[in-house]
Amino acid sequence: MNEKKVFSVGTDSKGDAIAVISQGFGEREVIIESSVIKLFENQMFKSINDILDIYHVNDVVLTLKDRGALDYTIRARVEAAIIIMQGGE
Amino acid sequence: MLNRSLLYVPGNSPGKLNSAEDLNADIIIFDLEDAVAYDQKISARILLKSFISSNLCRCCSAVRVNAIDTKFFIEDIFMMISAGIKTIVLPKVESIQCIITADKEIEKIEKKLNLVNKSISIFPIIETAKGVENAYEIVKSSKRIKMVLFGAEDYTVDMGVERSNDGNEIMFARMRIVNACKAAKKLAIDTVYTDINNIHGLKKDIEFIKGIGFDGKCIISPKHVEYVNDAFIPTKDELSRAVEIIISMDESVKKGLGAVSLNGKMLDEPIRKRAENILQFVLDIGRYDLIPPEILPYLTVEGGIDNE
Repeated sequence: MNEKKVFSVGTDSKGDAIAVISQGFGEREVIIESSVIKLFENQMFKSINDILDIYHVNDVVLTLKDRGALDYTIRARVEAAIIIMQGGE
Repeated sequence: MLNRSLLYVPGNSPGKLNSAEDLNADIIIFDLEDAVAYDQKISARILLKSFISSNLCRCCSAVRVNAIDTKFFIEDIFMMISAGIKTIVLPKVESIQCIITADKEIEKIEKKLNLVNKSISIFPIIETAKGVENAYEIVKSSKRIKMVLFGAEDYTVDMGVERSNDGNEIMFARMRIVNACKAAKKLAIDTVYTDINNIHGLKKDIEFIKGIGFDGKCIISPKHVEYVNDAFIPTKDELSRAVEIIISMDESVKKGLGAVSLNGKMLDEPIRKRAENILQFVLDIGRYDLIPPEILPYLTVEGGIDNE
């Protein structure tokens, strides 16, 4: 059985977020764990999907564990997770 | 641009980035170098790019990138300049060659991004024995250089000595760097004070470096900002003396006198220039309350000093 590699970026410090990414099951799956999900669900999903679109990443499972991150942080953590998964630098 | 306090803020911490603007430092240096662990270099660079691009920080800011001889340098400067940063803080500058290399790489980026040539500034950090030896050559090597920073932590490691509170081990480097900066008409910025809770020691350190000509100081703790900012504001005595000098010299000119003295000391143009600089500095920081009323006629409407 092939074990899927999981890549993680960010910390659980206040104001930060952890983006965890791994190969998907044929489609894009985005999961958000956040205490403010009810307030910002649409915006958070949009930010994550925007970054995944930019990098043409479709077959992944991406989980965002939010600790009150601002939008720029969410975008940056997702972007870094993608780049690291793709073996960037 | 004021340059009393230059505060390092780690580039990998959203919490610290978010609060940087509120810390009252004259310049924030977002750090991608020493504050960031090797395995976080990429994520920190992306985070900082995202932060800068989002225009959340309206304070005067710069980015300390990784050194020229690291694999991170080129991408660091490209992403930071693309995000909108106008000043690159360049660590481990040992020779004029470091500046030439950085200058060429930045010029390529300026062309690629259609930026004005030489619009990006470099603040080199001199922090090795070799760098100190080459200080003047480094300082005067590029028009991009507006100020030069001294880094005592790496310098003392290079020298094989421990840092102490009295700073004797860094005296020579400080003197050489500040002299090189003055000779090249650039600003000299002193190293960080690392004994965070020793405020008495910090104040002594600031008094000393101000006395030998440094124009500002790097800081690693937000606690130190107010002490550094306050120390570089002229005292009431310095201001009063500056006013006396200017008035005395102006009266001397009006009376057609060749030489003028104040309290038994001869006054000349360099002394007047220093006095004017003190008043100008107070205007630059917006502390109009410190300016004695008798000097007001000497100030222009725009807030500058009227030499007419």
